Amino acid sequence: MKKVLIVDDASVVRLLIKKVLKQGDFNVVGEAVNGMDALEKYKELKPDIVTMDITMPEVDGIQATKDIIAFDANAKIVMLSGIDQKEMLWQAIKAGAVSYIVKPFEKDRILSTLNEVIIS
Amino acid sequence: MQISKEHLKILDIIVKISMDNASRSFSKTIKHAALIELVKTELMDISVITEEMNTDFREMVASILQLEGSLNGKLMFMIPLDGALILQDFYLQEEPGTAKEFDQLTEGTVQEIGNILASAIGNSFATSLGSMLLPTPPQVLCDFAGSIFEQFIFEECVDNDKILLTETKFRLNNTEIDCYFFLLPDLNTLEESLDKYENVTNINTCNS
Repeated sequence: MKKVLIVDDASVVRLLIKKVLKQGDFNVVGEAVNGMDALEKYKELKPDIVTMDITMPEVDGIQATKDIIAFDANAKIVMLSGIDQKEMLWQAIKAGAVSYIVKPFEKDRILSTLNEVIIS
Repeated sequence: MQISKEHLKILDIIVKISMDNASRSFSKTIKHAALIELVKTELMDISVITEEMNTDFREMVASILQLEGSLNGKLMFMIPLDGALILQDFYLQEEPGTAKEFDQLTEGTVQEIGNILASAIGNSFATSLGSMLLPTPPQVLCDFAGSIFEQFIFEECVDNDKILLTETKFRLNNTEIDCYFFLLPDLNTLEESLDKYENVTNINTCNS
């Protein structure tokens, strides 16, 4: 089973993503509530993949992605955000994200994206 | 506080398009139809609107966010407390009535719906105005409707007698639950953005 770290400031969103990932071949090994927490948990848990919200207090998802990539250039980070704007997509890719899912998300879309990212 | 009639009309159209998109995002998020019952954009007298809100004695949960970019503003999603519990059940795809008490998950649901609606509005405005507009992390409040509304418009009250406000009322289909979404745009950045929008539209019209 592939290890996943979920990063989102809303507990209810983390719970929903966890429910979805349980239906696939994924093991949620940790949760982080902001970008700073995400980097610490990444170092500690070494997940295979990270789902990353963008709008979060203190350190946002774009900065957290840069920080994680600086620590591990091979980190696989999938952005999950309600922001559907070209410039933000570009910023996420430049930061090192490998994929971007726009909220509200579909269960199948999350599972298929994470599977594709793992295979690649 | 001034805004031209033409700009008010353009804003009204952009808001209506934005709210259609927001309503679709909202419905998809909770897997339940959120129907728009009212959308209005008006320059309102602060004393009249606060008096109106103060007659609403329902306990509400609200998510307040800022919109930042070429257009600044404040956004608020507000729902009665009992409705927030049902919203939580919809969001987590549980049987209605599962959530019994307001807790971290209820707060998170209102926070996330505020975020989804604000992002949808930001996305629509960004498309119309051709620039990036991002919501800030939400702040969640639980209080009476009037108190929450006063906190929402507090800064505007300091210098102005009137506010430009867009109000949208949603009804969750097959329920008695109404919820509200307010947008309070910053007039300076709004005027600049609408001027640019008008110029681009004029250039495109001339070219075609």
